[in-house]
Amino acid sequence: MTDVSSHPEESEEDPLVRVSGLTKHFDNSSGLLGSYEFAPDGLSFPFTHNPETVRAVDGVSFEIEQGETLGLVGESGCGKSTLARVLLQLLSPTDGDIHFQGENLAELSNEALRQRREDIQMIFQDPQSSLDPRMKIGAIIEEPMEAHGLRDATGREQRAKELLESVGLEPQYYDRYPHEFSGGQRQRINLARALSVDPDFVVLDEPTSALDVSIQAQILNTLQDLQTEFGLTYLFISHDLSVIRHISDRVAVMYLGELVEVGDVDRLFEDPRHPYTQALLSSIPVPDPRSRGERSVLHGDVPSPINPPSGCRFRTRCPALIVPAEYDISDSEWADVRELIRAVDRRSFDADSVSHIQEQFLDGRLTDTRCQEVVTEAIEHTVADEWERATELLQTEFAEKSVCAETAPSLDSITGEPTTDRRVACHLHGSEGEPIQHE
Amino acid sequence: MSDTPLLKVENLKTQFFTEAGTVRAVDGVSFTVERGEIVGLVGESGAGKSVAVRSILRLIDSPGHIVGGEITFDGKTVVGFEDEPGTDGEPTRREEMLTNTEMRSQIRGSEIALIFQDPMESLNPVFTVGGQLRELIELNRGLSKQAARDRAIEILREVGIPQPAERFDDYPHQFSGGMRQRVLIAMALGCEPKLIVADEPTTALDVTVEGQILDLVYDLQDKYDASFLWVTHDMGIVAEICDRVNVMYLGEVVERASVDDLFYNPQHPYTEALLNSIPRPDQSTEDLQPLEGAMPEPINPPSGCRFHDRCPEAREVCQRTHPDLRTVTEAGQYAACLKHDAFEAAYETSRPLTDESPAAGGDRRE
Repeated sequence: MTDVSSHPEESEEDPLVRVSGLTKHFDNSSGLLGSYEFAPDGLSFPFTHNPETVRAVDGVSFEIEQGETLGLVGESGCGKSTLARVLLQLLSPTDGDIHFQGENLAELSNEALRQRREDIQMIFQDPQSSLDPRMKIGAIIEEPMEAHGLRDATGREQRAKELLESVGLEPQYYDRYPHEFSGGQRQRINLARALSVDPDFVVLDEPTSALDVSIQAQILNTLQDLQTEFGLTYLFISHDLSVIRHISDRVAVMYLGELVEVGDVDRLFEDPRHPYTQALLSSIPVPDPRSRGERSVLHGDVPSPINPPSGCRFRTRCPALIVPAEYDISDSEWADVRELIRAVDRRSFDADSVSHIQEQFLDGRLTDTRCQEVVTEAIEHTVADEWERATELLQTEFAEKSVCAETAPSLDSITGEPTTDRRVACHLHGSEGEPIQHE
Repeated sequence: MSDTPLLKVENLKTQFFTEAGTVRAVDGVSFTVERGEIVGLVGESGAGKSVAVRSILRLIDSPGHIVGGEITFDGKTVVGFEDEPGTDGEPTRREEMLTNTEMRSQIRGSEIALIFQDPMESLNPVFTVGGQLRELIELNRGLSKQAARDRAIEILREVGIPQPAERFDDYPHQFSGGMRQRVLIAMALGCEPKLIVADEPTTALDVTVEGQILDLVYDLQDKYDASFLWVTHDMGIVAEICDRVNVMYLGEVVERASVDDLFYNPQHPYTEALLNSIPRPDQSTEDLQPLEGAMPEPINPPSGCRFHDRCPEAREVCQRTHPDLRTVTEAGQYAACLKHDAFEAAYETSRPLTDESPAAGGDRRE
C-alpha cells in the first residue's frame, strides 16, 4: 500500500475526492401509469397515485485522500455499487456533490465530464462481461487512449504492451482475444485498460469476487504494486471483510444506503464501534479451527430500501437497541423482551398458554409494571391466535418508542477518540451516549 | 451403528468425453464420511469437487461417465464395476450396483440429499415453496397430504422461516436468497437423510446470512445426527464446521487431515499455498503469498505430480513420478507429495525445479 507520506506535498491539500450528501433514489414504478395503484373499494375513485422510491444511497458523505485506499464494505443490496456508479456519474445523483480535485462532477456538462473521465477509471466485478469478445486485447487497452486522443497509433501500441507487462501479462498477448484468458488474466486486462489513460483515481467494484483465492491473492498484490508504481488512489468496494482489511487504509461500512462507520482500517477492525460493524466482523468464519464458535450471528434480513425503518436503519436487527426512556427495566429483561418481540414477529413458537409463554421468554415478572402489562396483553393476543395484533402492540409500545426509532443518528466523530477521523452513526456513541460493551 | 463408514468412495474416476479430448475431471479420488461427521472437500474451481459429489449421486450427464472406482453408501453399492471390462471395452456394472430407478427411489432425497449453491435454480419458480416441500415429503415418506403439509410447516419453522404457515403458499421469488437456501435445507431434511451433500451452499450469500446458515447446520446436525459432505473453496468455513478435510487439486485428493492438522501442520505444498494466499479477517496480513499461475486443464494434466509446475518445492523427480495419497505423519495425516519419506522417491537428492516455474499468470490458454 502506498502511504500518504510519499506524497508530502499533496497531503496538505484538499482530499482527492470529497463526497457530500450524495443521494440516489430510483423510481421503482415503470411506465406511464406504473405508479398508479388500482384498488376498487366501491366507494371512492379506485386509482391512487403511489410512486415507490428505492432509496439506494441516502445522504452519504466521505473523503478520499490522495494515494490512499478507501474500502467500502457492506452486504448485498446496501447500495455499494450504486454509490460507485453515482460517484463516476454513470448514474446522475438525485442530490449531493462529488468534488474531484476541487471540481464538482455533479455540475459538469456532458463533454466536460467525458474529458474528466480520463482521470477516473473503474474496474467491474465480472471480468468476462467487461471485455468485448470481438476485440483483440491490444485494441481493448488502446480504446480509452483513443477516446481521449492520447498518443499516436505506434505510441498507443507501445504503451499497451508496457501496461500488459505492468499488470503481469506477456506483451505478446497484444494480438489475442479475451476468450483465450482465464478469469484472473481477464481482470488484469481490465486493469491495463483502466491504467492506459493514466488515471488518478480508480474505483474497483468487487474486482476479485469472481476469482479463486490464489488468483485473488495475485490480483490483490498486483493492485498494491500498481498503486505504488503509478501513485493511484483506490475506492475498493467489496463484501469480503478479509479482502477489505488486507487492501484498505481506511474503511467505510455501509448499511441500507447509509454509512454507519468510517475509520482507519486497523482501529475499525480491532475496535468496531457501530453494532452493525461489530456484528459483521463477528459473523465471518475465521480460517482458524482453534477460534471456532466465536461467531455471533445477526438475525433477520436487510429491510427493503423502498420503505426503510425510521430513525436508525439498523434498529430492526440491532442487538444493542436502546431501551425506551420511559421504561425502567434492566438490560437482561430488555434482552428477554426483544427476544419475545422477535419470536412473535416470526411466529416461531406454539402459543399454548399465557403463563407458559411468559415462562419461556421471561425470567419472572418484569420490574416495570407498564412493561409487564404490555407483554401480558401481547401474549394473550398470540394465544387467541391474533398474531398481527400482538406484533403491532409490541412494535408500537417497545420498538417504536426507542430513541433509535425516533431520530436518525448522524455520522459523528466519537467522544473520547483521539482523532476526528473515526466517525460512527449510532446513538450509543452520541454526545451523551456511552460506549457499549463488546460481545 | 456399524464400523463401516457411512459413505466410502474408492478410486473414483469420472471422465467427460468431449471433442477436444477426454477430460479427467475426477481421477482416482478416495475418501470416506463417517456417521455424524462433517467432511470438507476443498479446492479451487476446476478441481473436480462438484463432479465428485455429483458422481456420488450418479447425477453425471453425458458426455460425462463414471468409468471406474467404487462407491458404497450404507451397505449399498452406488457405483461398482467388474474387474474385467466388457467385450466392447466399456466397464461392466456389477450385479449389486443400484439401477437408475433404485437410485431414484432409495437413495436420492431419502438417503442422500443434495443442497446446491444457487437456491433459485433448485426451486421450481412456478410452484409454491410449501407445495414443493410437501410433495417431496409425501413421496419419500409415504405420508398423507395433510400430514405431509404439517410436517413441511414444522420443518420450515425449524430452519428459521418466519411465519411458516403463512409463507407456505408463497412462491420462490418471494423469498430472499438466505431464505431460499433455508428452504433447500428444509427440503434436504424433509426426508431425514443419513447424508447431506452441500455443494457450496453459502457461496452466494452475505456473511451475516452465511453465519445464520452455518449455525443452523450445527443445530440440525445435533438434532438429526446427519452426516455432511461439505464442498467449499472457503477456508474460513472449513475451519468453522468441518471435522476432517480432503483437499483436491486437478481431479485428485492431495491431502487429507483433521481440520486442526490441516491448518496448523499442512503436509502438502498446495494446502500450504492455499492457506498463505487468503487474507485474514482477524489480523492484518502483511503480504499475501499467492501461488503462481493458474490450475491447468484436466484435459491434459502435467506429468508426474500434477502440482509440480506451480509448486515452490518441486524437484526434478516430481516431473516423473506421480505420488499417490499416503500416510505421512504419525497422526495419520495423508498427503500426496514426494517430499515425504513415505514415498522413497529420492526427493532429497533430486535437483530443485524452482527456476523453471512459469511467471505469474503464465502462458496458459483457457
